[in-house]
Amino acid sequence: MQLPQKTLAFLLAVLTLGGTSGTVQAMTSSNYAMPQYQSGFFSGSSTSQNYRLNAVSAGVLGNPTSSSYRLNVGFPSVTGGTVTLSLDSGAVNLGKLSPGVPISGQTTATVTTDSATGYSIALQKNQLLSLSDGSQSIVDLSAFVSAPAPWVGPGFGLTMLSGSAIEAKWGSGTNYAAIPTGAYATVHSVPNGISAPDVTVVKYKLDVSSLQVSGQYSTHVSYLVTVLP
Amino acid sequence: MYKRIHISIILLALLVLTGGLGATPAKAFTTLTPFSGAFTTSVSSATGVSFTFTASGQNTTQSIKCITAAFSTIMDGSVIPTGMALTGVVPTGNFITPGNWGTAAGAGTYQLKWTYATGEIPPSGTGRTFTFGGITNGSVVGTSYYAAFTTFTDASCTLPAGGGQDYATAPFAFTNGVVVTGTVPPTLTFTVNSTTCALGMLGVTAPKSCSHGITAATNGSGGYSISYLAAATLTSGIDIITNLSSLTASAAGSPQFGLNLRANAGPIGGTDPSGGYTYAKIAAGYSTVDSYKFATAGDTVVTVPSGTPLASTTYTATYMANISTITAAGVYKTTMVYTILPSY
Repeated sequence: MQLPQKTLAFLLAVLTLGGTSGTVQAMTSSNYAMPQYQSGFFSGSSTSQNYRLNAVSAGVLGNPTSSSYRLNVGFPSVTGGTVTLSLDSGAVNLGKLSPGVPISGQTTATVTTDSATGYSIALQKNQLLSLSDGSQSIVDLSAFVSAPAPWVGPGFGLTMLSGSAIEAKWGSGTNYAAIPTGAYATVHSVPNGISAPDVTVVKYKLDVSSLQVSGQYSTHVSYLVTVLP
Repeated sequence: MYKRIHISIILLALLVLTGGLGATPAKAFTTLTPFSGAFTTSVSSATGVSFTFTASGQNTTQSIKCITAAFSTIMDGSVIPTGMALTGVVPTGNFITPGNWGTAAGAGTYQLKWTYATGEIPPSGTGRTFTFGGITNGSVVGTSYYAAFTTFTDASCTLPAGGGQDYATAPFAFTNGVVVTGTVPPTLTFTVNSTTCALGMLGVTAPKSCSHGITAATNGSGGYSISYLAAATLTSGIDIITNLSSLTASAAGSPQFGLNLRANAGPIGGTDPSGGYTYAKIAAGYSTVDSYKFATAGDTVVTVPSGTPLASTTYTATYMANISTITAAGVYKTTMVYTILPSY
């Protein structure tokens, strides 16, 4: 029996693409991960009335179609593989306060991600700055994160002191807003991929009235970094 | 010879068509995009946390009957981040109709699963959300993990073969956050707004009085007390005007000297406390209108207990004097020293 030349060529091409054994390996680098199951011979799915083919490989890309079939091939794109956030310290002591003389402190947040779409940082606090027994608290600034305003105390708030492409609304660190309690609010977004750890400095500022009950006030500010979709 | 080669080639090709040499099935081709995922709090080890997938690009032609959410240390892995725990909670959001979906046992501790035997087609639209709670965050901070969202067209969570219909992952990391503290030191202000208080020319037919203000404020939460010290009652040389050692109303024609901190009518003088506390904070011997007291050894006139809301208050001390027909002529006076004692 003679095997048609075209058929033989096709099957040999299959062999070339798929290797000669069942040892399909996962592939990774610092920039990508390709699980073993993605490393087959074809990619995507192809269907007709008689069959459905789910297979994987990068041998052919695109969506070849005809009146009889549509073949989806290639690797599914899964972006934003990693994201990390580190803070320079888990505690910021603003110090002692004389009413009318604001005090401040800051947190340096470092973000790493391989997302091509960038990332955002959101903050929330678990409570108003409060005494440990909860009997007294310090008011927030009236300005919201959506529209920071020049400092008008008393109150507690934050500004974006420095970082990559800090939004103009922060007035280069001169406009302040309250940190929302119990719900994250995005304070800064970097809408593009970064090639190195990205550093953002968040400044907290506090002032109280002369009638503010004495004591040590605290709150827990949590940071959330999210890969932008 | 040629025939054997042909058979082996065909066998290998069949292997390719039937699943890639036994490799793990591929994930669904349809990837939700744009896609994101976020916790209600990313604080490590936090409990009662919810997670929301926000997805677009979902398949709106195929009915789905199973949804899985997986949290793993590697993409599409099955090892849950250290310290993280998941419990099945009925989802909310608008990716599907939440009330239709019930929880089912996941493939492992890293996975949550919801099924709806009837199935439904996800509605079109971008930014569709799928939220579920019952999460205890992991304990390791600063490590990138993966949250995977997958839909299936069967209630057994296997179809379409190869990993489901819609699929996406979102990286996430836990943080410890920052404890921000600030200290408000205790402060105290205390003012007696006059150094003199002249009763004028005393007579036997009507009492005389004079008043001055005392303002006190502190941010201490322990309250405070205001007291006075006096060397003696009204004195002129060896002559005195008898002090009222107990709460007594004015009686013209009788030697009397006393004070209170109220708004009086007989004689007219003084005002009730203003700016903060009421007369309820005035000590008993000095809080009755038109009645007076003076202790030569000194006494406490105001007591603000601990825990009382802070307020700056102005009290008015009113001194009242009467004389009799035998009171020796002279200039009678005494010196009062007021002190405030805060409690912190």
